[in-house]
Amino acid sequence: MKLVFLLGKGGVGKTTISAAIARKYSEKYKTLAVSLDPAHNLGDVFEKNLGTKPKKIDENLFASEIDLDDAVKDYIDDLQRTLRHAYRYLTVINLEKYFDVLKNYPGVEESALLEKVRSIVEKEDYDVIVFDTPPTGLTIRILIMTKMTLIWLKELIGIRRKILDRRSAIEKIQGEICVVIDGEKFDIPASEENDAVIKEMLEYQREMENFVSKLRNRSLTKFIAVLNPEQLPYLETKRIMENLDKIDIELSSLVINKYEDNEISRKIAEEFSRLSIYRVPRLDETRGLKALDEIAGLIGDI
Amino acid sequence: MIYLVLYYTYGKGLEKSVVRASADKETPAHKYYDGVDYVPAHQAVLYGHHFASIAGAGPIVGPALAMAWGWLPGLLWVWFGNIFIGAVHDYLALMSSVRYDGKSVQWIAGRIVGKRTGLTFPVYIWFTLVLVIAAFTAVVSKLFNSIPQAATASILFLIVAVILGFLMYKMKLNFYVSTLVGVVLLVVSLWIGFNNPVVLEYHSWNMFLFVYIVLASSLPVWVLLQPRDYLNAYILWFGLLTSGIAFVALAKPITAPAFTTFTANVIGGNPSPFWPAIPLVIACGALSGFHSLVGSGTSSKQLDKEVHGLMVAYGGMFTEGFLSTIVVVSIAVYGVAIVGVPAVEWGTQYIKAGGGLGTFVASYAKGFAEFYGYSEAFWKTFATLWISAFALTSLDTAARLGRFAWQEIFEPLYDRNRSLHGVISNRWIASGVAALFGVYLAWGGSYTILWPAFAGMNQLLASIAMITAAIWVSKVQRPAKVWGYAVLIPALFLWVTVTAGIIWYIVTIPIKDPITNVAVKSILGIGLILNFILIAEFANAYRKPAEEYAAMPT
Amino acid sequence: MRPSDILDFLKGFFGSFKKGSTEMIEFELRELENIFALVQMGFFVGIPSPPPTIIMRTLPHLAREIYVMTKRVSDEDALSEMAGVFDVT
Repeated sequence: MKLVFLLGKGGVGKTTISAAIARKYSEKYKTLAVSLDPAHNLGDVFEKNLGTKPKKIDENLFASEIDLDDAVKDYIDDLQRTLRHAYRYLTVINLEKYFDVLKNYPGVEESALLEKVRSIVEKEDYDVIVFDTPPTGLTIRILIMTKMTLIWLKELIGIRRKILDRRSAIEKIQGEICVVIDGEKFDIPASEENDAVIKEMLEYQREMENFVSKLRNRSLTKFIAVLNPEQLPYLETKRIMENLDKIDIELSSLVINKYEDNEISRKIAEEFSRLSIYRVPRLDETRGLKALDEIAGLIGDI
Repeated sequence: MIYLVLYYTYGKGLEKSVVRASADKETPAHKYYDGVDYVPAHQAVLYGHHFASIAGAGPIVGPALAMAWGWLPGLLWVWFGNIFIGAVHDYLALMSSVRYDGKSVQWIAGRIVGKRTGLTFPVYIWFTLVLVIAAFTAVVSKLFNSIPQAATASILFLIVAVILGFLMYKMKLNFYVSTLVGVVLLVVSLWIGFNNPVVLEYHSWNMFLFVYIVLASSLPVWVLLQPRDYLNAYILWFGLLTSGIAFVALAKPITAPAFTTFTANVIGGNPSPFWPAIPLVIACGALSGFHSLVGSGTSSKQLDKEVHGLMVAYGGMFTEGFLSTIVVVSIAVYGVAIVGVPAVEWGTQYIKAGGGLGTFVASYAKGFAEFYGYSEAFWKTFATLWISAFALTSLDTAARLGRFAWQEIFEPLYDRNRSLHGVISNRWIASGVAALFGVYLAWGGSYTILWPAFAGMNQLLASIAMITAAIWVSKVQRPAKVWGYAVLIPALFLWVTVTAGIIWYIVTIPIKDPITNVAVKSILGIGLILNFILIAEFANAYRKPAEEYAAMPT
Repeated sequence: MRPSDILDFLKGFFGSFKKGSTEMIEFELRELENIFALVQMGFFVGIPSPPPTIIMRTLPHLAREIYVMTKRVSDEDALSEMAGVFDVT
């Protein structure tokens, strides 16, 4: 399965390009175009009403729009539910007060979306998935969250192993440890086979590592930056490159949308000469399948 | 004998009128039952546990030094101090902790006597721990220097402990098998050590110990501290029981004088009046400040019924008394021959002639050799290993506690100057400072001087506990007048004695090395200041009407 | 004193050796459990906390660790607990 991620500043025409690319792939492969952009333009481009469930646009071509607010809200609900369950034991902290604050929990937004993206990718119903990403800042945070997750998991698993180690040493000598809280008896796991916590963490680690290696594999995943020949998009694209570099991801290609030959477009060509650069001129019509076909033609072998 | 009688009369009296222990009241072990810390234990089982875990190296050093006053005064202090002050203190500490849900006396002090008391603790404890490090470093260095066979044996013992730790906790070998391996290797290292002494200077041992302290206290506990602590228990009980049998069976005549003079030369070889100096010498035999922290540690959380408390606490002090008695007796029997000082000059010359710990070791060995046979020198090695095993553990734990206390003290700095806080509370610095300070003191002073300084601080800690107990008794429990005094008087007596003792020490005892002199005395000075703050708090609390305490649980 | 009492005494006595053999390790274990739970709850106590997905997946299984942590919070007395486990004299 191949993945394509389109990054870029808001308003450069990311959504249009994503749709065109999806259209191109759909000539040969079963393709899904997913929009994570809160601007909800994908439906406009395909001239269809889109929702979370993928809708068929044409033969081999499907599309969906993910509502970020909904995704984050669902995620927070899950978080709340988990905390409320654990709340039974947290008699010292009055959690109810804090539930509102959970929206501000650091990383909630990017985590929610990361999990959404992962679940779409894991489903593997399609040959190609094209992602129209949210505004750059959020996209970068989502990608960096993968690295943060792995770093934290490594540490936590380390501590957990130390805990299990000591527990098993003690159990060997003193017999099984158990604890009684509020009259309820709890078994204390002392080995990796019995410990739900470490199994959960190792499982998550495996999932995340798989995901990240998929992202880094250039033959499987393409990261494409879309920009206009203007100062701000150009600077933003440079920033994108730097940030992707931090997580060992390389841009595959660049699409200069609304292209015209000016100083900036020449600068872009020069600075990003390592990448394949595609130029799409300003077009009158950018909606509908016919327009997309035209654009697709211009970006050929992307 | 004496113990039994007093147990039933005095002890029971305390129980009834002061603590008002009731078989029906729910103890924390039941209230907070969690299968881990709060678990009711069978009375005899708990007693056995408490009994076994109390003794250490302290009850040996003190009485050995106190022999300069003759064997009688020291012994009397041990026995009676034990009963009227020590056991009372331990019992009340245990029971007040039980009433306060298993909280420590330190915590209770903060609540009852005053907030300031609670806050001065970490500072206090830190300085005490520095003195612990100083005193024990001096003790061990002296012992290693004079009985080098034990030095080798001790170092080998460290290796044995590490091996045991690895087998028992990492490889998870069967408990009894690993224990057996540990004990066997222990005996082996004793034998090897006996035949291969490592001879080094006193100061070299100081430096060796410094490195040891910093390293050992930074390792995870299962590597060295835990296994060694475990093996120490076997050494202790083997030593106690065999010597108990030996000395009772031998029943030899006592050659040392029963009583020399009131002002024998004890501390650092200087004239020391029995009162108020005695608590500075015999610390743990009768009373120990750190005990009050221990008593409220696990035992109060495991008491099944309140009425069990008496046996647990009193019984515990009994062990200590027993150990100290052995020390005194062994020196009393063989001391003269070993030290080479005739009974007449005993008072003045005992310490100067090298008496003290060395004498105990030698006399213990002699008694062993006579009763069990085999070479005296070998038993000397064993006795020294015994003392140093505990001393080394104490050094390790003192460094760890010190690190913790140090970090607690500098907590407030976190908000004011983060980077400075980062540097100061770094674990290597935290361990290093205490160790450096302590070892430096050992460098410049002998254990006959440092030990009393440490004992003084320890006793001050104990007096805090006693005073807390006294307040708890007089304000919260409010028994009949007589019993109130039974708690108050020992508490005040102790406080007065220790305070006087420390002042006397600061004023009269000369310490050769000037920096050590200033350092030790300043530490004691700080202790005294805290002490006076405490007594002010006490007076304050005492004056408060009983109604203010009505809300406290009885 | 009944014979069973003496037996119990001995049980306690020798039992203390066994108990003592892991006392410090148990203390260390509680420390680690405390840290583990604390880190998960970091958000609520002002320390950096892990990505929420990790927390969601592990928190439901952390009853004991949370118990240890909250006990520590209400006990306010770590120094004494430590002093009790790490006997100085």
